[in-house]
Amino acid sequence: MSFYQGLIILVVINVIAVIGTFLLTGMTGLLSFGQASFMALGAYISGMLAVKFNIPFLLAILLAIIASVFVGFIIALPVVKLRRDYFALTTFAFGEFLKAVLNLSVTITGGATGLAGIPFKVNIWIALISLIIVILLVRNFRNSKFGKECLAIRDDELAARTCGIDSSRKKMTVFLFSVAITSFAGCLYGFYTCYIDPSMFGWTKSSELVIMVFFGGLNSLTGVIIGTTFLTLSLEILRFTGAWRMFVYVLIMIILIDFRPQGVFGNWELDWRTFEKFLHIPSSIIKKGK
Amino acid sequence: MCRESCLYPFILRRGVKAGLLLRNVKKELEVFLQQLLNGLSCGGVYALMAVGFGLIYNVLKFSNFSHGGVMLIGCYTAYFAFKIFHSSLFLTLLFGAISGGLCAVIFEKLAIIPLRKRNAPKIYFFVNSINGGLLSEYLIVATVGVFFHTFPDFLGTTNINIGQISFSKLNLTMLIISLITLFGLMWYLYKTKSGRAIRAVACDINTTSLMGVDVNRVISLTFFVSGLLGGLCGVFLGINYTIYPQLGKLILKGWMASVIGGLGSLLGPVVGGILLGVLETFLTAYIGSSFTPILEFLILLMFLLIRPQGIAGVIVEEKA
Amino acid sequence: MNLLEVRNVSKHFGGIIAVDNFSMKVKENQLIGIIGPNGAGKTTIFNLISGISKTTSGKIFFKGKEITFLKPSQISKLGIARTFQNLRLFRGLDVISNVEIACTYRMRYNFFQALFWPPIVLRENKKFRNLAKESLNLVKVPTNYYYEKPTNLPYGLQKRVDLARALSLLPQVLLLDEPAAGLNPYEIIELIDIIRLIQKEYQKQNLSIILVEHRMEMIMELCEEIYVLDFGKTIAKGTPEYIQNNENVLTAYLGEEY
Repeated sequence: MSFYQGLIILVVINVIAVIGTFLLTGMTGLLSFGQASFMALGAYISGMLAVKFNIPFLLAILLAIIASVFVGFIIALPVVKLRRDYFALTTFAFGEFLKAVLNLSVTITGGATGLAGIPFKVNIWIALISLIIVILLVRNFRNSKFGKECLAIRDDELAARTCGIDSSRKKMTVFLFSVAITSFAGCLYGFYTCYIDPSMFGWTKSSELVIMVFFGGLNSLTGVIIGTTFLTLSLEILRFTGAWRMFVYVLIMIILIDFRPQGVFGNWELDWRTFEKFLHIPSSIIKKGK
Repeated sequence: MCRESCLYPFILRRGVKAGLLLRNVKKELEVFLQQLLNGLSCGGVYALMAVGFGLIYNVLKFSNFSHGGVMLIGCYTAYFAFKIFHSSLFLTLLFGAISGGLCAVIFEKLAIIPLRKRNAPKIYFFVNSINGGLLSEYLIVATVGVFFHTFPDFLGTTNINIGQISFSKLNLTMLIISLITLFGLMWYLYKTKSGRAIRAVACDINTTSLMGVDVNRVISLTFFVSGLLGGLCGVFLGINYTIYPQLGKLILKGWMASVIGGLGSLLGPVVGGILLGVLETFLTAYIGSSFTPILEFLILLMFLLIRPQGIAGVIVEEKA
Repeated sequence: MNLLEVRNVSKHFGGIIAVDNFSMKVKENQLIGIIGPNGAGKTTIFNLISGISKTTSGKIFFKGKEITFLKPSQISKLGIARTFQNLRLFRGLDVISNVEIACTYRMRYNFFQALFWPPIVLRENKKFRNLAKESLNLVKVPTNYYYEKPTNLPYGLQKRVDLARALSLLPQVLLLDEPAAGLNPYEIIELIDIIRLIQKEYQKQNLSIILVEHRMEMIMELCEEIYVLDFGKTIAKGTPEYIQNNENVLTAYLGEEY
C-alpha cells in the first residue's frame, strides 16, 4: 500500500468522523466535545470483538455501532432537555470518563498500552465505499423532514416546539445518528491502523473534529468534506514543521471564526441548485420536489 | 466459684475490645478530618477556578473555555518568574495572577471582540474560547516543550500538627489566600464602582450601555479580573500537581463545580468548588485516584438529572 | 362544550404577578380579542396556553381535555397554533421551508425510511410543499419570495410568513400575538382582510382566533368579544360597544388613543 493510499484512507476516516460531528453541530447546533470518545468506543468494541472473539469484520462493526448508540443514548438522556452548553460539557466529561475507564481496564482493553493485533481490513476501496454510503445517508437525512427540523431547532428551538416538533426527541435522534457515524469512523480506524490506544481519542481529537466543521461551514456538507480533506492533508504533509504547526493552525481557526464565522464555504452546497446556476438549466427540469 | 473466676477475663477481654474500637474510631475520625482539611484546600482552588469561569459566564453568557489557557499561562510565567528572580511564594503568586489577567485580556482582544462586533451567536464564542485554550497549550508546547516541571517546596515541608493530624503549611496558606481572594472579589463587586458596573452588565448588557457605562471597557475589565483569578488558580494547581502543558484541561473541574453549585451567582461556584474539592479528596483517599474520574462523571450526570440548576442556582424560564 | 377554556389561571414570576386569576371561554368560530397596556400579561397568557410557560395555578382545557401540563409540541399537534410578537422565523431555512416546518410532524415516514428510501420522502415533501404554498397564498405572500431567506423579506411580509406557518398546523385555535405591530395603516387594512379570509376558509374546521393587539381599529373591527387586562387582572370583558363605554377601561387604558 503506497503512502498516498494510506493518506487517502486517513483522510476518508477523518471526513466520516467530521460528517458525524457536522450532523450534530452544524445542523442542529449541539456542540459536542466527546466525538472522539465515540470513535474510541467504535474502535475498541469492534477491535476487541475481532481480536478476542474472532468475530468477522462487518459483524464486529455492526455490533460496535449498536453498542455505541446504546451508550450514547444513556448519556444523552438527561442532557438533551437541558441547555446547549450543558450538552457540550457533558460530552466532554464523558470523553474524560471513557479515557479513565480505558486506561484502567488493562486486562480487557490493554489499558494505556493499547490494543494491538486488530486484523487489517480497510483498504482504499472499502474506505471510499464507506464514505460514499455515509454521504448518501446523510444527504438523504438532510433532505428529509429531519434535516429541516434540525435546522429549525438550531435557529430557534422555542419556535420549533410550537410548530409540533418535539425538540428533545429530535435532538436525541440526531445525536444517536451522529454517534453511529462517528463510531463507524472509529471502527474503520481500528481496522486500518491495527493498533489503538486511549491517547488517540482524547480531547484534542474531539476539538479538532469540531473545529473542522466550523472551518468547512456550518451549513455546507460539501464544504465540510472539502475542508476536512484539505486540513487533514495539510496537517499530515506539514508534520515535519514541528510544534509551531499546531499553534499556527489554531490561530488561523480563531481568525477564521472572527471574520468569516460561516466557514470557508458558507452556505454553498454541491447539489442541483449549483448546477442550475452554472449551466442555466431551468429548474423545472432538474428539481424533484425540493 | 467457677463463674466468678471466668467473669474477670471476660470483662477484661470486652474492655480491651472496646478500647481498641474507640482508638479505631478516633483514628478514623482523625483520618476523616485530615482528608476534610485537604479537601477544603483543594476545594478552595476549585472555587477560585469556578468563580473566574463563572464571572465571564454571568457577564457574556457563554462558557469560557479559554480560562484553562489562562490558568496554564499564569502557571508557566509564574514558574519562570521564580526561576529567574527566585521570588517568594507571594510574589510568584502575584506574578502568575497578573500574567493571567493580561492573558485573558489578550484573548478577549483576539477572539471575543470581533465576535461581539458582529453580534455572533453564543456558539461561536464558545468555540473560539476552546480555540483560545488550545492556542495556549500549543504555545507552551512550541516554546517550552512537553516536559514536566515542578515548583520548589515553598515554605519548606513543615507541617502544622494538631494531634495526629498534620496540615501542610502550604495547603493552609493556599486555603487562606483563596479565602482572602474570594472575599476581596466580593468586596470589589459589591463595594466599588467598577465592580457594580460589572454586575450591571451581567444583568443586562444593553440597558447598562444606555445608562452611560462603557460596556466594552467593563467587559475587558471583567476578563482581566477573571484572568487574575485564573492565573492565581493556575499557580496553585502547578504547586499541587506538576506544571505541564495540559494543565488547562483542569478547567473541566471548574465547570463541574459551577454546575454542581449553580451558575448565575457568585455563591454557587464557591459552594460547588468546595464541595467538589472535598468530594474528590475523599474519593481519592478511599477508592483510589484511578476510579475517581469515573465516579465524578456519574455524580455529575446525577446532578444534571435531578437538579440541573445546581445547589444555589436558579432556573431561568425562556419567554416568547 | 367550549373549544378552549382557561380557568382561573395565574402566573407568578417570583414576586411579580404577571397574570392574576384569568378566565376565558372560547367557542367555535369566534374571534376574541385581548387588549391592555404593555406589561398587562397578554403575551404571558399566550405563553401559558401554548405551553411555553408553566402556570402557577389554574387549568387550561382544550376540547374538554386538560392541556395545562402538556409540552408545547404536544399542544400544537392537538390544534393550537400561535404567532410571535418578535417573529421567530427560522433564519437558516427559506420561506417555504419555514412554513413547511409546521407540517413535518404529519409527514408519514420514519427515520430509517428517510435514510434508505428517498422516494417516499420526495412524495411526502411534495404533498406538504403544496399545503405550504396554499397557506402562503392565503396570506398573500408573492411567489417570488418562496425560496428566499426570511431575513431578506420586508417586515410586513415576514409577519405574514409567521402567520402562514401557524396556519399550516391546521389549527382549531389560532393565537395571534400583535400581528399588526410595525405595520402602516394600509397594511393593517390588508391584514384585517386576510384575517377575515382566514376565518372564512377555515370555517369548516371551526377555527377560532384569539387576537392580542394594541391597534384599536383591528380589535374593534374584528372581535366579537374583548377581554381587557391591566397589571395581570381582567378589568373588563364584553362586546366592543361595552368596552368602549366602560369606565374602568377608559381610565386604565384607552384615554385619548381612540
